[in-house]
Amino acid sequence: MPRVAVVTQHWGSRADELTETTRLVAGALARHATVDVVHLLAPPEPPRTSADSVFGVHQVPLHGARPLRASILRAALGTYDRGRNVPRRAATILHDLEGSAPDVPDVLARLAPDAVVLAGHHQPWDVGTLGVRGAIGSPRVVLLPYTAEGSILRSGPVSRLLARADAAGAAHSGERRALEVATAGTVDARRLGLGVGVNRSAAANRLFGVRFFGAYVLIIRSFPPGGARWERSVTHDVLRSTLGDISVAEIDGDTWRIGDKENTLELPVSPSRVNLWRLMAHAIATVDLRPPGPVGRETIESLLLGTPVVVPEGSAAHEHAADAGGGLWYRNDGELIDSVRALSDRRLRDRLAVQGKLWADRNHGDMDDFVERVHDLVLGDRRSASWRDPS
Amino acid sequence: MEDLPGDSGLDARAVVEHLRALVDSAPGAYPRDWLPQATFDELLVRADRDPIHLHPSLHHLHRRWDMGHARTQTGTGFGPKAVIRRLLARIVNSALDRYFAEEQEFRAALAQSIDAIAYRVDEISSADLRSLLEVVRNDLLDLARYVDDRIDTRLGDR
Repeated sequence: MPRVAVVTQHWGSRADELTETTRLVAGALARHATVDVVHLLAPPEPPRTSADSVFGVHQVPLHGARPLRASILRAALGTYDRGRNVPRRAATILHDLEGSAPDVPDVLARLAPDAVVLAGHHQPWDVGTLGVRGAIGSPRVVLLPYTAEGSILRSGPVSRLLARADAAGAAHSGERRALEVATAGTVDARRLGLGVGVNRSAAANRLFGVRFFGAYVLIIRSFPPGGARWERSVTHDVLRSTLGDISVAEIDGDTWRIGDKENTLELPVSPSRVNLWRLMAHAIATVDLRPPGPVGRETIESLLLGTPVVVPEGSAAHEHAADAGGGLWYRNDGELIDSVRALSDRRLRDRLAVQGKLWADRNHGDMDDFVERVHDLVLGDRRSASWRDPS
Repeated sequence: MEDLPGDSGLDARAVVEHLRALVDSAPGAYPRDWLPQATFDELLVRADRDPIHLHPSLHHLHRRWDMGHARTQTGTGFGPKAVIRRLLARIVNSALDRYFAEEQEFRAALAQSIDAIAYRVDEISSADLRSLLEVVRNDLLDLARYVDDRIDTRLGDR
């Protein structure tokens, strides 16, 4: 069996989008390969190797990382020119704030993997130690950048990763286009088509108390609990006041509730993904109010459950909605309300729902297809060249 | 959405553009660039307390305010003690009858007034508050719409 090393900061028990995506990719690889995860950990802890399910996890200290400061600086730079031209001095500071993980090359040398997956564009270690692209004996390198921002893809550290990468996996078609532009087509960039499973039989049952409120729109302000959340976004109350008889269900971290003109019910449920599906599956539409994430997983889930989406323009979720023809997108609160009101039209809603479900089933609904896609992306032709499946 | 572009293979991009074109030609009935942030939802949740007229102490008051039974009960039995007790009860009741009648009326009035106050408090803490918040919210939406229009007008002047 080939050996694959996944180098990432996104591992562990956190339920954020990037950690879940990395875990899905590693899980898919584990069907055809031995998978080791090199986890860059900040604040740094002594190197340690442990088993996590089918994965061997090699904990590597990440020294001097300041993720919060880096995020603040990145957000501040983004307000100017949308972060397209990051000043060189600022880029250096950003690079320094990512910290450094000098132990990674030693761990990889010890593992001697056939392929290395760089999950996330924050890779503060010397990728030059992986040899030259295409050289005999050097591992195949696949980058999952988890960003469609051209400014980041063109920045020095990420350019170096792309210069070494044999292939890149994109979470959505916008990211694939951005990769093709950033690399001028020199890197084989493909859509991952993340395999997303939804439990349809569980989702068939409504949450207790929801039936009383009739037709409703689901707004996601923050999910999973502790995830990103805008301090200000269109409120439950204002949206409800523009929708006539349609109720509004809201997920805001641990607080889930549903309300119509007269009543508000706080839903006494645990904020789990299964309960999210149960609420999503019976909604008129799923409205994403969160700061855009790099994967747009909940949009895919909503489309799989046959519920159209309303999502922010320029996000991964927008790319999914546009590719699928399964939802609408907004630039501001006014357009958000326009879109939700438009979806109160059953004819439009049904057409978007059917198209969205078809697209999601075809591109994200089949786990076996996802496993094969990830295999082809990461192991490429090695399957026939250096090893053969015993069967 | 009667005039949606196309009938089959609906392009979501076309729908979004269609919506934007509609808005450009006829701004909607609600503000577009600024929306009030006050939700009042917390206030509404707090307004949905258990009704005070169902409080156990009020239930107790309703069961105990009537002292008619105590006034008419004179005891049973034919022994010397029972006969003396009945005699004393008759004397006390006839001597204090007017006081007991006033006391009975007072307790009835007390129970009725507390009941009325409890119902009023329940109304104020839910329905009235809801109505008030509805008015305030509509005012805020009107204000936002007005500000939006004014900004559009001023920008249109340039």
